[in-house]
Amino acid sequence: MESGDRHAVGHLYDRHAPAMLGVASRILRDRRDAEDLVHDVFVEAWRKASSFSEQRGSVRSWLLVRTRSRAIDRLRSLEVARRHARSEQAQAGDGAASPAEDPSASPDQRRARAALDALPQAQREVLELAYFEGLTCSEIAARCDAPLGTVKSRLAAGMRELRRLFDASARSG
Amino acid sequence: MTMDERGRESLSEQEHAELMELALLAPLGALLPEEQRRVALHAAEGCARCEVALREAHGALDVLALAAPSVAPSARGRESLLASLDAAVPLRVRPERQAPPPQPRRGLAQRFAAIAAGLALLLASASLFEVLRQGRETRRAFELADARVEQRIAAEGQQREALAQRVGAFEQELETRVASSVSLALAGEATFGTADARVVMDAAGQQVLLLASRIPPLPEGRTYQLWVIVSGAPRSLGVFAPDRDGRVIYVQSEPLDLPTGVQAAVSIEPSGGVPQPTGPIVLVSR
Repeated sequence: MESGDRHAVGHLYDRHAPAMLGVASRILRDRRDAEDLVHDVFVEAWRKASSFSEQRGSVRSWLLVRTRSRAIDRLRSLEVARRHARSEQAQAGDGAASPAEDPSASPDQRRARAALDALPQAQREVLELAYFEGLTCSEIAARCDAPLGTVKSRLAAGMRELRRLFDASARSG
Repeated sequence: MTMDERGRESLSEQEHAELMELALLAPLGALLPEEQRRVALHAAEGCARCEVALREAHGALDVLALAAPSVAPSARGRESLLASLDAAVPLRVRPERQAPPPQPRRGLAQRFAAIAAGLALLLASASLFEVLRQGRETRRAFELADARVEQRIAAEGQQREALAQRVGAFEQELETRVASSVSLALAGEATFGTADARVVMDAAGQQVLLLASRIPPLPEGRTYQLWVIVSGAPRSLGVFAPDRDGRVIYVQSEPLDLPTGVQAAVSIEPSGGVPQPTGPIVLVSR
């Protein structure tokens, strides 16, 4: 992609778009919004390809971070927030599947889901609120009716444990 | 002393533990802006323990992203993306620019610290330059304003001094004029009983002023003539005529000698006046 190769973009799209769409759909809860957002992230990646350096992190990490960041921004816009409220019960959207059940999910995706599922409920809940809904610690404390310090502790512990479980799974698998 | 030790030097262990926890949450974006800034500033000091926390956090974010149920993209999405790439020109590095030599790989926290330090420096520099620029402009504006005020004060001082001199001269002249002037009220009888007249004779200014009202008009060939009488001898001060309303404002330049007891009078004379009064005296000083 750095050399402006459209085929390279197509290859990256095939490889990473499902995970990006998964993140965007989980956050936005709207398939069309999610597709638009992933499209925008790839266009951004295409435009900035020459400035990308693998020394600064993997392509996958960059794409997922940008996807999440843009999705959270869009989520916070009023229009999407209203739509979000209307489809409160809706889940990831058409085509969504659990990595555990999805045969196309990569081993990393399966391990990640397993690691998240293995977390204590309290830690998983705050992590999902922070990551997928973009809530701050204060907002999570209000939502969960928990002290702010407790929320921070749960988040920090959850982050450490999640990474530890994932790494352990990778080593054993 | 390591950077880690220096970074913790001014922090208690409890404070540093709190910062490490914040560093773990910072990449999640779940902190308040003030907390985010604290982490950035601390990371800029190169704290090794917080670098580990930041690395853990980024790793956990990767896992969270992968944990989301994947969604199969539509074929239309891929086609749409590839089609739109033709319009989106990739940003390329200028070919003539030499790429910098490869740097040793840095940790996430170090990169975060470098970015934070760079941003902080940039913001601080921008703010500092802006403050300095505004300071210079403000000082210059004050200097200009001061100079303008001083110029105005000096000019007004000169004006005031000139005015004071003129007022002084005027007062002095007025005193001289008053001292050398005689003001006499004139009164009449019969037709001139209602007339009001006053003559001011200024010896220093060598001027005579007659102000009068309710002076009746005279028939053709006759005129009023003003006289000054010194020691019983009348001297003509000229002839005058009232306007249609019976008013008189008559000014005459005349060398005067005004000893004590000087008098004034108005008589009716033939047109053009006469050297000595011949007609009736209609107004006389009391």
